[in-house]
Amino acid sequence: MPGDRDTAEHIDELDDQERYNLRQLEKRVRSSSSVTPEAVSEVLPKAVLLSNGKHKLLTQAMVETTEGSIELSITTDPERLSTVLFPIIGAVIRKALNRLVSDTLMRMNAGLENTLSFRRIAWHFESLRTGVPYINIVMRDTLLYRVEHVFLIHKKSGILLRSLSQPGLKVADEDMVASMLTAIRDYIKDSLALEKGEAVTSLSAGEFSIIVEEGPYAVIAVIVRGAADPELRDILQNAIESLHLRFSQELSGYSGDTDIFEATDPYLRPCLVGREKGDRKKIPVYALAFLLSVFAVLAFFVVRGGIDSARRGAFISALKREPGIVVVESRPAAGKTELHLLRDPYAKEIADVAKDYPVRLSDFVLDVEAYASLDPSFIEKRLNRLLAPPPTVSLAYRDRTLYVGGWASDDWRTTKLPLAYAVEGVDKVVLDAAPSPRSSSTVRAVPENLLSLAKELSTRSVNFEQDSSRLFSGQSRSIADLKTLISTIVTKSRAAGVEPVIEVVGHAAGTVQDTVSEQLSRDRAERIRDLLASGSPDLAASLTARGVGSSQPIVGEVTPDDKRKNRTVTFRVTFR
Amino acid sequence: MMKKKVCLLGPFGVGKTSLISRFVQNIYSEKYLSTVGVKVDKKELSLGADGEVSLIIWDLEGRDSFLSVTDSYLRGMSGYLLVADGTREESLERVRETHNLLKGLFSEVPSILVVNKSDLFSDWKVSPEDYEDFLKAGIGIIKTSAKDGTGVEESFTGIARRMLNA
Ligand SMILES: Nc1nc2c(ncn2[C@@H]2O[C@H](COP(=O)(O)OP(=O)(O)OP(=O)(O)O)[C@@H](O)[C@H]2O)c(=O)[nH]1
Ligand SMILES: [Mg+2]
Repeated sequence: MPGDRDTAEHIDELDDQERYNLRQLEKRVRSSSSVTPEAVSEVLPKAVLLSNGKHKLLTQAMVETTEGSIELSITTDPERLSTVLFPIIGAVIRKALNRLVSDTLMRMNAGLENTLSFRRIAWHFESLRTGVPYINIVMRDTLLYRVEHVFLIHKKSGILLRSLSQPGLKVADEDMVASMLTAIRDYIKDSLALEKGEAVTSLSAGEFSIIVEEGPYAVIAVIVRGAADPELRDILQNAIESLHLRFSQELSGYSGDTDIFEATDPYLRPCLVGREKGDRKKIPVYALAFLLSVFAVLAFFVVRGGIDSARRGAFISALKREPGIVVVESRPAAGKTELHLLRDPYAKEIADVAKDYPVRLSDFVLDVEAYASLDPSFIEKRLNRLLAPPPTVSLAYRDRTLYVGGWASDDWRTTKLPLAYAVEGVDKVVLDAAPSPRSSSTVRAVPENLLSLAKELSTRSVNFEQDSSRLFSGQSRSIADLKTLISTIVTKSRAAGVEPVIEVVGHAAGTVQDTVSEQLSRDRAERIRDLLASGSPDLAASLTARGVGSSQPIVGEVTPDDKRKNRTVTFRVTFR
Repeated sequence: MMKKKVCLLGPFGVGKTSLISRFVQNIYSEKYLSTVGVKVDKKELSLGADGEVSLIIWDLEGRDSFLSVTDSYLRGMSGYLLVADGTREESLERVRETHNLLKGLFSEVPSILVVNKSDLFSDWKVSPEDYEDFLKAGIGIIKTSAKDGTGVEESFTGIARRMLNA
């Protein structure tokens, strides 16, 4: 076999030393009972591990040896072992001591509450004497503290992202508190030219303090009553770190939505800590409570009375300011206020005025008489109502004179217009006040049917998509109708010997005037004018387009639907 | 609920504080109590389709320029109202300077120019041509009176809408 031959050849190649080694090896394999320390040292660690996994025999066997070794180590060189153990021993001892101290404190507090009743009485006395609430005095004397509120604040803007409070407590304007706190910290930091990382970390006022722990994007601020212990810092640090870990994206990309931060509660709640033993309810303060409630009830009536009359006063002054309403008399009567008012039918409703004030109308005895206000705007309203001018006529009231311009039927001129003199405040009617400088003659006759067509056109509108001059879909029919209506008006006008001017007026939604809305409204008007004029050159001459932006809304904007109505064009017809 | 920080900026006495108290509490006072530092107020608004927003309104003391300390008050704002007084020509000039300074730092932040005291219109020293450049720069303009309430609601809802759509 080739293998045997190889081996034989190799043995022949060995030198004396190698042949000796080989023989030694042969001997050792044959007498396996004799084990060398070297061999054991190789297998021992493995053997110990195996033994630990199976039974505790080895551990038991080692107890005495271990104790002996430690003893030996301490007697020969104590320094060595203590250095090694220091880091853990420090923590263990601190923990045990803390536990001991706080347990003792608690027991002391319990003892105080249960046994030293004279002390409690003294506290009550002090509370009554100084006006400082009982609990504050107790807390002051027993060095307890409590975190009452915790805020999570967006660092840059100062916006409150989330807040939690102890049960039953609430900060009145927490958004404002959070922002003001941020402003104050920024102010101090800027004016003292503090470096990065040197931020203000606590502020205090009386027995309250605010402690702030900062992270890169958010800060936690807690309002603490009493003197906090250093442990609180650790808790806050912990919370802000875990928050930044868990909410890193939400915090760094914050853009105003605070609802997502409801999920931070589990991280914030642990900050509501305190070293307070027992709770207020256990303290028998019935007598004090009774006194306080009597006082509170009295105070309530006094303060409410004051607030109430201030509110009523504000409402009455609002009535006095309101055009078309006259306050003739106001006087108190059996808890209510008697109001004698004069009100123009076109003035704001009394109830609408009251809406803006925190008053109930049932607190007033109202005696309202109708009267005609001589305020020009009311006279104008009355004239418009009485004369019902067609859309081609414009009315303007100034200096006891009614100015009438535009186009109207003979019938309207003879039957309606004279009624103007019946309105109190109108001394004179001037025809053709020339709202358009082109018109040269007085209010001219236009055939009745033409006027009603013009009126019909003035009720039409076209609606657009938001921020665009694209038509809302589904209006092609009404555009076609419009075109027919307009060409009828143009033909009939020319037949009657007048020239119509059809104004396409564009509107935009929104209440702030700006170039964007003006441009948009112009675009809309021009788009409709072009649509109507396309293919009809005789119409094109009569059509004009202009944009009024958001200055003449169709409806006041409250709902989204209102805004839709204001994205529109309307039409106005005049005749030349 | 969305929360947005909005600042009112402008020289002293133009009516920043008055506009806020008209808007938030519907109160107006002739008394002039100059603001020191900053005061924060809040009002929740319902903007129809744009949803609801809680405006955190920062009323800054009147300053002719914003360079040092007040800068940090502006941090994190989502919009600002530049307030001028129609009866004081120079106030518009100060506001223009402020705007020129801020438009670089806060290029994405919307603003509206509010020209206040419209109830004193006959005493106005500024005319529309004087603030045409703002219109051209895409800034909304509104005339207000903290005294009679004209345009106040619209200024704040206007800036709120712009902030939500920014
Ligand atoms: N007539 C009139 N007076 C106003 C109006 N708004 C404010 N004022 C008055 O102007 C004065 C200054 O108003 P403030 O609101 O305190 O002005 P401000 O801009 O906050 O001033 P600073 O805080 O000093 O920057 C007060 O006397 C107000 O009564 C307004 O619309 N019309
Ligand atoms: Mg102020």
